Amino acid sequence: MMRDQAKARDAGDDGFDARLVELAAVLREDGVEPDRDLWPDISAALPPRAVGRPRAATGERWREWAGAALAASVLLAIGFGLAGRGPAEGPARGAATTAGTTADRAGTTAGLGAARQGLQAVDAAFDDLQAALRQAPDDPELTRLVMLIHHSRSRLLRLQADGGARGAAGGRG
Amino acid sequence: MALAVAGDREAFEQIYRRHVARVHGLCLRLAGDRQRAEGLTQDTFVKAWVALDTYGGQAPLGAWLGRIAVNRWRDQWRADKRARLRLVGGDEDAWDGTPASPAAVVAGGAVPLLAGVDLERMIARLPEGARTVFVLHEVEGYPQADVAAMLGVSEGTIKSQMHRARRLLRVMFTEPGKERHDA
Repeated sequence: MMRDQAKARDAGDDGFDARLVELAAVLREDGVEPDRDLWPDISAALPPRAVGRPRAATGERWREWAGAALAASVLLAIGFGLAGRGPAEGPARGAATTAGTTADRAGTTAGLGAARQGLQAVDAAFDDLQAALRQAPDDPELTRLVMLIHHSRSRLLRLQADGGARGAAGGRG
Repeated sequence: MALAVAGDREAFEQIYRRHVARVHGLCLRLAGDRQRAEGLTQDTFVKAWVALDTYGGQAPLGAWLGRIAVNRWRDQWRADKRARLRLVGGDEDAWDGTPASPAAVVAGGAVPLLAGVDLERMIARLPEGARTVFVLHEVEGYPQADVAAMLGVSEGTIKSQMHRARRLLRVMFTEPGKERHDA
């Protein structure tokens, strides 16, 4: 706006150039509809996009997403391990092997404590995932991870409840 | 927007519907005819679709699309080896008109009556070089140095073309038809 005013001031004193500058700025926002609908041609020319894996404009979104995915994978593995279901599928498989072994030991010695720690970590990972989802609400991979981690949390809660009940029964016996 | 970035074509169609008039208007002013403007508009939206996930939101989406349109047009312009010659001099020197007396405009009280629709028609009648520079600098707001860099010419050429564009527009407005005879 200031640029336009300055140009108008510097323009000819008959007012024509000033009016020209004023109208040119208005034209910038004014559109001219094409004579026909161009969308069918454009739509036909659009190449396929990689759905669900948006490249971030900055590195921030990817770091957040990757961090959340990693945390979710490891915790899922722990969850499955504690529940005695063996290693998890897909990207969590490597983490699951290690975590499952650890969890087996934990399950026999201090299963209840491990479940409590697992739950805290799951809750933290869940917060990370929610933050990532706010950045990419349509990301199907994130949505899948949220569902998986929710499932894992349910298993851990059941384990904790079972362990608590056994502990109470043992104390009575 | 997020849906379009994720690959949703219907969401991208909504973006197209919202911005096509602005993009096409710009393409029409740059290209000078409707057929080329349609092609440029299509190119712009296809390029935007491909680059959609690089849009950071710092500028309004319309301005971002406008920048893509200008870049696409610039690429075409640079590919046309004769375009630069036409801009720097050559054929366009013969096209110039005699500027009307400023007093005539003021006396007629015509200046306030100049409307956007008149200017749109008048821009379309400008010779290519003057039109290009006027649209990029005056309408789209690019600094003259940027326009010079974009077109690969000196700033002096840009200033000269701006001066020419203003003179011709004045002639078209005050003495309709005269610039054709002068051409």
